[in-house]
Amino acid sequence: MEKLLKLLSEIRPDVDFTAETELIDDGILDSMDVVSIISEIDDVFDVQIRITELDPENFNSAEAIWNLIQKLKK
Amino acid sequence: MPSRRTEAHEVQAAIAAYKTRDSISNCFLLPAEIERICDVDACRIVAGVRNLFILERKESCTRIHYIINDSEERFPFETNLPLMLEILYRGKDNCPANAIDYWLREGFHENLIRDNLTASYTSIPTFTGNNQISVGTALSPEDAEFAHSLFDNLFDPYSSDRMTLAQVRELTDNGQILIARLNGNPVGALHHYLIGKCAWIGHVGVDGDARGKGAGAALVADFIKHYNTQGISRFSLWVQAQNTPACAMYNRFGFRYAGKSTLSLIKI
Repeated sequence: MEKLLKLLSEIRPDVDFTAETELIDDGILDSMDVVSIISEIDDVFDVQIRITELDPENFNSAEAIWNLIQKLKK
Repeated sequence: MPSRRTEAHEVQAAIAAYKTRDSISNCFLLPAEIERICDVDACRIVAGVRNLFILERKESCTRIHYIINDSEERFPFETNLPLMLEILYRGKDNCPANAIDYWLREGFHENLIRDNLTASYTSIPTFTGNNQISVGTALSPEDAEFAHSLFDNLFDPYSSDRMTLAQVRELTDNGQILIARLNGNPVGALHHYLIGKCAWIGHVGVDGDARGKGAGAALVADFIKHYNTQGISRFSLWVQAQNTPACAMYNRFGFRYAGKSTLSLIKI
């Protein structure tokens, strides 16, 4: 999880990813952020998320992103 | 634009087929955005052997979303109409040279750099401005015409989202345009909107003769107050990096670089 939080804060240094739970619904992350996060997750965690399979709910919080990574690793 | 209408599922399938970890790409289109531009028949696919280009028809030009896997393979689309694209990148010094090189070879030239700034307020910031300037929500057709004319004259038609008079009228009806007046005469306008719980400045401008008198700051202060009283604490905008007075003003309001920028390139 620490590795993920570091990755996220490098993409959006102005966002507190430990506190925000509605990153998409509140309009904090835009499409560029989401695609960048997908790309970084792909590199750092070696899991592939296809944009066509993207569900915004998976990106509403660091915890949700972490859960998605764990699911894709299985 | 190629004539055949493109469906959203075709665009999504093409992106999935062409995009790899090593692609050079500015394609940040998510499914909802693809649906939106396909629904209004503003989207076309131009597919090369290894490169993919998604063309989006805009008000004054065609915007290119690209996925480049072979930088030697040429852009396969000829047109006399204006073309533009934005290269999105993270960190002010990280604009990808390989993408710029590709498009310069295709006859494009560099246009504008824009930075994304954000700010958070838990309470309304204090602002002491020029008391000859007043700010209020645009109400009349004359206000809408003033704002449209101002935005149309000030903004680059290819790199920003140009708005028609009808669109500005609709925004005026929705209360999304603020007008700044100097001694009662309109001198500036600001277009704002809300995405989720983040308030955005879409367009803001001040008439040439009135610049330097605090109209821009008064508009921004009113924008922040407008949303803060509704419980909104997060604010965001894109600013032209070359516009140093505007950057300094936003800085004074507490806006900080959010880590992302765009470089626009145009071919006209």
